Amino acid sequence: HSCLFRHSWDKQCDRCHMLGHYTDACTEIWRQYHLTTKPGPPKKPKTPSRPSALAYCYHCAQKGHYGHECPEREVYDPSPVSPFICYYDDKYEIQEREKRL
Amino acid sequence: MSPCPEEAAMRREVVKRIETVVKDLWPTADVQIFGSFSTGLYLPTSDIDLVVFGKWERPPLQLLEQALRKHNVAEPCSIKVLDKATVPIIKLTDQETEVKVDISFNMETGVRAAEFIKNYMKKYSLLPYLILVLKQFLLQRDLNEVFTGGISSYSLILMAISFLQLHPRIDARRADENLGMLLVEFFELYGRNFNYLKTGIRIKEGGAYIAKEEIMKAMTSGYRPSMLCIEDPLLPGNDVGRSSYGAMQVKQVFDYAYIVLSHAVSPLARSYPNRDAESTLGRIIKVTQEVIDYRRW
Ligand SMILES: [Zn+2]
Ligand SMILES: [Zn+2]
Repeated sequence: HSCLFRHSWDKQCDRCHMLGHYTDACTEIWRQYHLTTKPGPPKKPKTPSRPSALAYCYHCAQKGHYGHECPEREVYDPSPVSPFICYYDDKYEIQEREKRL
Repeated sequence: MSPCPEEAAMRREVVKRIETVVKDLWPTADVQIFGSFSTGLYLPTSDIDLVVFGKWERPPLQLLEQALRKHNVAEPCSIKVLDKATVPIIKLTDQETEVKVDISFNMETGVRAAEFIKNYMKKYSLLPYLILVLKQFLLQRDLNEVFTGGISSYSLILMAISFLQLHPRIDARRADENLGMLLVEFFELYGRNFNYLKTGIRIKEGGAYIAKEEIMKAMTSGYRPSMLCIEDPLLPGNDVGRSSYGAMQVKQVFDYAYIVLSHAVSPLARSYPNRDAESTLGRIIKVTQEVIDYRRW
């Protein structure tokens, strides 16, 4: 059955440009609502969300990078995804995605 | 679900009844509340933790037990004296309210831990909500106590604090973040991403991840870090996760919750069953009718 699905490490996301998933499966689709508490399109922060000064890796326990950037991860691991949001959808883009799925 | 005023009042009554008995015996003794009733992070079914401070050579378990029986504070068969436990305690169920109470003697640590947690609740205003949902989540799966194969609530609280301390996005610590999404990210971290084999959790000095080998060096020799390794912020050298043998089961249910919730909140949710029947959170949290009835009563 491995021939039915492409391996996850072949996939690349057009949203966050990380390997391991397709655009429509990107966690940013729900993560972009992190500041939204009312129905409607996601609320954008006034200034882009900054990275925390404390960078510790949950994977290798080293200081200086975040877990999703860890160089020690094995290739076959399903790549973890970025906790940052590169892009907030507008109403139109949400409708388009709903049509696709 | 957070505590309502009647529940707090009812619990304070229970404490007052016990305090009266204690003061009757030892007028100079001091009764303090710690644990979830002190932090406000309790569920309707949570115990009340009390500690009695006084001058005794050994904890006067039997004396207090007899007095409690005499004053009919507890259901007679519910009083148990656990004098062989690491921390000797009296367990009882309050006659009027059916609330369970644990009483220990001269133990500072619980009170200090409650203070520590309350400070973090002031710092991160969403922390209490996050913890209450997580507690209910584990309670339903019988994973909320170390002796039923789960993790302690102190471990869970420290995991939530560390999650916020080390969240890469600065705004994750804002008070107006979407709580539901933070919960999904909590499950994402501890259900999928966190490397339990290598990584330990440090809370003190703003927080850090630290290799378990490093933590091992700071401990007494021969000690091997536990699977869920959390350095006790109040007692250096103590691993809070030490007794949490159920850590891997907890990881599994967190992963499951992550899958369910991240699907429920994505557009793919439409193909998911029961979509209209329950709320998104309802997919992982159920409050039994029993608890609802108890709260009304
Ligand atoms: Zn992506
Ligand atoms: Zn790393």
